[in-house]
Amino acid sequence: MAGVDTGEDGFSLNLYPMLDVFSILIVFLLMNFTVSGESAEVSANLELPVSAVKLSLDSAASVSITKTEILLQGGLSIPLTANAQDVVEAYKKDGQGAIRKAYDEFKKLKAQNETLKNRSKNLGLSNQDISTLVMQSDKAIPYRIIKRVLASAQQAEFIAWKFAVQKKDVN
Amino acid sequence: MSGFKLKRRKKVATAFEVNVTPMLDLFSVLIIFLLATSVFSATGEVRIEVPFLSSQPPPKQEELDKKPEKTVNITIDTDKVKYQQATTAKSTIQDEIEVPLTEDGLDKIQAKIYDIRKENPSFDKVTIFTQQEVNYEKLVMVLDTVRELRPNRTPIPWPADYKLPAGTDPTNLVTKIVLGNVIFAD
Repeated sequence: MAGVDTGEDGFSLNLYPMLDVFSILIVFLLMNFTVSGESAEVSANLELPVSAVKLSLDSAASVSITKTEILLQGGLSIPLTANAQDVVEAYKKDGQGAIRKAYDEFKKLKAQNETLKNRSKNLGLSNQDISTLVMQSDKAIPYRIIKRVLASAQQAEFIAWKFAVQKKDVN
Repeated sequence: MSGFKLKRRKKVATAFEVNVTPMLDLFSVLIIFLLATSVFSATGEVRIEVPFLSSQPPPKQEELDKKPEKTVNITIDTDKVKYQQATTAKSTIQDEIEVPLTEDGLDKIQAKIYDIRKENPSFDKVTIFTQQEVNYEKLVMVLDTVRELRPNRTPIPWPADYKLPAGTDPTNLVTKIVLGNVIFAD
């Protein structure tokens, strides 16, 4: 390391090169953070499975399935008891796989999306993809639960999904 | 006047320095924070589709027979995966294998899809049927196999006249993945 003799005090380190390196590193990290960093929030109490996928998760209306509940963006919570029997029962009653509460919420979201789409069209704004939903599920959740959420959304005309995963190559 | 003597002031060497140490401390903290956050928040996405509910009748078999297309169906069970390749013409199964739900087993399935895609670039759809008790982690393992080309495979040499769909990565094997059994079961 280069040192500067300041005379009276003796010896002190020249920290400017280090400062330069740090500045460059911070700029790089901030840029990287903005470009490939995440724009969608992942629920804290769920563990996503690891995947080799390279595509970063975009923000969109999301559904989180934790070990204890199904959370729909907007705050609706459908509790999952042991083996999710209540959800299964609801499924049998409603037919075609939908969870009534979730279906109603998806229907509301669909109506909001339509309004937004029309407004954007009237204002001449570019059409954003708002018809896709994000599924954030804990890695241990069985497909019988995921399927009911998919079916509920399908009946509200949401057919495109982004399944959230943890990128393998980063860890 | 003569009593005053003009004295030349002695130049004092003042070394003016900015104390950069606090700034360095701040930068160090910022770097650690940025590094830590970017590692833990790297979330990716796998795009899938669910069949659209339609009241239209399915296409007639005669129409499908005229222009047969390859179809690939994958059925995931808790410990095994079944691969079936057929054509829309009379729905005849042309190839079928069953492998354990492991990385090695899934590699065999990817090899099959890779060969089809290499021969027929327009083929770009796989339908997945998942059993009830298969968890999300295992489903993602299969989705990865279908979508992401493994490092041991060379990217598909697309013909000059073939255009990849917009937004497709050349390392993607299949871009359209459909989850088949969402309704009318159990």
